[in-house]
Amino acid sequence: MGNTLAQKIIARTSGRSSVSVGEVVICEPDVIETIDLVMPHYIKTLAEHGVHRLRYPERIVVFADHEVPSQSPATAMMKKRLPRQLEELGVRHFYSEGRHGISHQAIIEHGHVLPGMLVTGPDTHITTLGCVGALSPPLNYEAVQAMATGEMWLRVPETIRIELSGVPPPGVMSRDVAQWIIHRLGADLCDYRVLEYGGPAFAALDMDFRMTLCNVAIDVGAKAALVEPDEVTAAYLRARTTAVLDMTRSDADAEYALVFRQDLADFEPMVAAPPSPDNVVPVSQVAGVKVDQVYIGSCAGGRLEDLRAAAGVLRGRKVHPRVRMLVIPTSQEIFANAAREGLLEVFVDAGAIVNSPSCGPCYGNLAPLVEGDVCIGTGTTNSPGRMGSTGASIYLSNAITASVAAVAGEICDPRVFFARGDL
Amino acid sequence: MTNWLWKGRVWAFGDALPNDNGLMPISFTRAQVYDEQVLAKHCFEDLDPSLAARIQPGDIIVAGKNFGCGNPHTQGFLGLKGLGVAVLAESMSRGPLRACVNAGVPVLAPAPGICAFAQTGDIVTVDFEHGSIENLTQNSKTEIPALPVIMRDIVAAGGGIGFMLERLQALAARGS
Repeated sequence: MGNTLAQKIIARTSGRSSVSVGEVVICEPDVIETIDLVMPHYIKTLAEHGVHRLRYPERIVVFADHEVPSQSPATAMMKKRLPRQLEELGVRHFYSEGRHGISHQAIIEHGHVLPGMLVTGPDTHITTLGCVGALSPPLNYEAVQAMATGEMWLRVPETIRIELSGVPPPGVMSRDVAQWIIHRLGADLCDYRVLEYGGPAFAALDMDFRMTLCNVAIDVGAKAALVEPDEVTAAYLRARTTAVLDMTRSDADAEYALVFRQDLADFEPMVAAPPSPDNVVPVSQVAGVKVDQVYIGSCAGGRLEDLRAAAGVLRGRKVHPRVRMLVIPTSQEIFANAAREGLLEVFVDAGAIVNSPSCGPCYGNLAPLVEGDVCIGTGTTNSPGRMGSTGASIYLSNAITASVAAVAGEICDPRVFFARGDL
Repeated sequence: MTNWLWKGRVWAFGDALPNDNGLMPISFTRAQVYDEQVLAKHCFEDLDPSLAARIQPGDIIVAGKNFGCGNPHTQGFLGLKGLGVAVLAESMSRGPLRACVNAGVPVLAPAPGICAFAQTGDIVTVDFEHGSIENLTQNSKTEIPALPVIMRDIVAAGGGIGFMLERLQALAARGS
């Protein structure tokens, strides 16, 4: 019996020739991705326990992302001290404010994550890193321990293989596919398993698409998601790193818990309605819901594909007077590219607010929703309270559907909206 | 030696009790609060603000499917540690289960049938090492999977930080 890519990665990083599903092993991750906001507490916690050095500081990569720029004197003070603290620990990969992006995006852009790597970190949406064929389960607070010991424990997971074929129809984006698949598989199937994506559709699916697919997996409890590395992966990374790429995939006779096949031609725009990300329905079922805020951003949907899609809707149109629309590119690189393409001008002309990259609204600390507010957008999750008040409702959608709602002032099937042509 | 034999009063909850704004108001995550004793006072506050004060150390949380679901921020589980309770849940997904173990809270999940087996107010005994549970109020017994060994080591070390210190000692002894 062959091995899945996840098994191969766990075997290599645990110093074993092979591992079996269900075994509990201790691995040494190749990279630990972390964020500026948690590091001061981690460093303090370690110091209180007499730990003043990290085992592999060169493997740690730190990003400013959750609150950029600082919104309080306390955060500002924390950020002021951090560069010195990292220097003392020998952590030299630090992308500070202005050189930053949401960690899961920027770490890929900077070529730190390669196919076949084991990467971990505190933030749950680190599963995004599977886009290049890395295994990236989140550790949450355990990351502090992994930084000190250079280790993490893992139960060897089963893998669900997801085979995609075909081409998505107009108006359908990565988010529709990603959100519908987690809804279709459900939390019971995904729990503790790795979702492995592959199939003929991927020759035409770029890194933006792959990031979104892997990003949402965590929201149904999957351990990780990854796309098997291919020519698209190699071409993307060759522009960003000189490292030799290990293009290992699962064996042909690897054992999967389930093989799931899906044609992308069968999709339509989908919306995840409150109160959970797997409550996914066709957009037509929630059409007419009035919205107060529209959000394009987050590690699930503020990439160039999303900004282009939003600008495509907003060009020559205006955001509805009742609606506040926020556009927040996921990284500085995306922000710069959006500027070069003239997308930012479209947003501002339409009456949208454009902010610098941060987790912002999806972390609930920027533009917080208040009781009774309705928001539609590309944030990561719609659990109550995620973006402010627990009395607010959050709908998740692709960037086209969200932008159409911004113009119409209510959720609207983009296909209906464009057919009407008069808005 | 860790005491794996618990006897306590049951507090029963339904399915899909979320971590954020269920176990713990998410404001404590945003404010980066890590003090177990502070967090303990706010456990379950969104469900019933008076609940935390009525839960005693040694009591046992019995929960339905997908206990602690959503983002497994550590604050909710540190709150449970501060309360001094253990958890028996029909199921928990990976992140919350890891966070619970890492907070040093004894937990058995999956515990199939636990919701039918014990209700709020029952007195139960739990052997976390072997997975045997007895309901003294209803005079019934059940067996479920025990806590796997590495998770038991982490709980025994008082949580992830204690386990980390043990590993660092072992690595230092090995000279790496």
